[in-house]
Amino acid sequence: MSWLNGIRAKSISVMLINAGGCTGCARQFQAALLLDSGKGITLTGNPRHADVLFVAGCINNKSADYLKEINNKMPSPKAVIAAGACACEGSLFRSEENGINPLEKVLPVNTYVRGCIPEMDKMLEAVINVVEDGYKEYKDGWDHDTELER
Amino acid sequence: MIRNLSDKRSASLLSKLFGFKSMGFELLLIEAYGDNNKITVNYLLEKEGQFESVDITVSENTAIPSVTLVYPRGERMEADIEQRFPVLFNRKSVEVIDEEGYSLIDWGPFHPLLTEPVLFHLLMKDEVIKKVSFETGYNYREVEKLCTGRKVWDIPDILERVSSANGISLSLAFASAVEDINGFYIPQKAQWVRLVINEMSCVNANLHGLYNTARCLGLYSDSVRISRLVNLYREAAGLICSHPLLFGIIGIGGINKDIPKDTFYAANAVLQEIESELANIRKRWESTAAIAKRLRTTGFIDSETAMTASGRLARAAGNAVDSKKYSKLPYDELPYTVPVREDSNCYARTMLKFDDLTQSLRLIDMGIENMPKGEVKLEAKMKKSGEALAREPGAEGEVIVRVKLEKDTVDYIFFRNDTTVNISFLPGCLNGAELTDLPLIVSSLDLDLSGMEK
Repeated sequence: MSWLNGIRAKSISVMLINAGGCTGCARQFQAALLLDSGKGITLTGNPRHADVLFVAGCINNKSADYLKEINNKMPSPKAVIAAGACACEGSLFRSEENGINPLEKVLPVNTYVRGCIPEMDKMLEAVINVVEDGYKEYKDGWDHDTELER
Repeated sequence: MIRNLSDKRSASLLSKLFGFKSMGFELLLIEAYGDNNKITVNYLLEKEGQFESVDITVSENTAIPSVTLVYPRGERMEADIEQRFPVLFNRKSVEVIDEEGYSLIDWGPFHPLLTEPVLFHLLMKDEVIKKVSFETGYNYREVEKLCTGRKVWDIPDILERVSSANGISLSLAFASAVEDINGFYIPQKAQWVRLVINEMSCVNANLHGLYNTARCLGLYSDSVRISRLVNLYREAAGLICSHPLLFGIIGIGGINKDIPKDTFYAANAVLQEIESELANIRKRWESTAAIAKRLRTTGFIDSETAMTASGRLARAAGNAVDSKKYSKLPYDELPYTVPVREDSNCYARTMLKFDDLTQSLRLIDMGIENMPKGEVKLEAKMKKSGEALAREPGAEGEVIVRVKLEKDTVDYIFFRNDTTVNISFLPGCLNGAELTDLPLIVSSLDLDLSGMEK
């Protein structure tokens, strides 16, 4: 019944969060979705419809709580991607007093897309890989929420 | 406990500001700095390149009369100070009409993380907006604080990352201010490269603005066409530098990398393809009655109010604000005009965006032609201390950077973009509009919140 699974398969819904920054990564990702290789990946504004949480920008005290809340609302299996230098390691804003960079201090991150600004292809590749891996881990009993509590 | 400023001091402050306004001075920026529980608020006023400042020093937790009574454009700058210093400004609050037939709707936040871009509180009569108040998320990154105490060489990289729309302009303005303090004379080639890069950054930002307008108009096919133009820009930028937003090129004393003129020619060949496609899109929007009518009937703001605004919002109301006038870049050697319209509605602002894009592409073309060969960076030895203010053109208007240096260390820095001024006029644009037109009106204003909420 592989053909039936093919019909059942849906496009990957990504929730794009720009947690505060120059918005360059978010714009790059939106531009990447218009490429041919970006077909099958859609943006959603509702965490309950999202498969992947795509976080760009510097994380600070204000945005951390909201990020956790959004992550809790996402149904499993789910994945978190940290995109860009700010979300991955804080970049030039790592010494700011208000910041709690990087993202892994707030959420368990499945994969990182490094660079300021990351390449389009790398971003799309990360989304596809993380979903495939996430589904495998989910079947193996890996639970994102338990990981978060830990 | 909040203390009010005495009536005598309040009246003195407002009368000074009103006096300057009657002489034709416009509010450029409001700064604040604190020392030993005393906060000093400084109002910097400007008239054709001449500066005047009004100071007031108050204790902590004091309510100062709002400058919006004299200069409405100061509202957001006051809110910015309130977020960072223990002072308040007595601004007029929005009256709530409690009558039958009116309904209060909260719209937003559009961003799930914050109350940004904007959380609107709309007072509606049927489908028409009668009164608006709004709040932004204020995702404070402490950029100014982060820059203070650092060496000047590190700052352009930080400022570029403040905003993808105006980052290059901010970095340029900072470099200009530092070079002004030290009396550096920048090599000719570096000046022209800076001009070309600044205009390319404006092209990118304005194309994104146009993309948003197309989406708000429901023109999906046009938005895809515009996104192809963005990709053309990225292709051109990729020839010049590995960073798609051209970060890392601007340095103190010139540019960090010598880019051959042939590379610019190749990039320009790609960029000039944008102009013909833009002309097609513009023609279609102008000739399609449904699009033109919708744009013409939305986002009207009376010209008297819009005249006190800045950047494109002012130019759409007939005020020929020339953001390139005070630039240190060689704009004065190029034959450019200031596009102006008088309708002061979404149509005028959108068409000005097309005009600005076309003009930027022409300036890039002429800039590359004028680019001489030679050195691109001088050996900058930072020996002088001092203070300078620099203004450079940005995507939607101008950016202003004020710097105080202690030799090669930044002692104080303040910057603002035009969104800080123009966001105060958002309620004026929305009054009387239909609810469904709200996204279109907001997109026509080109708000750069990353640059405002630094």
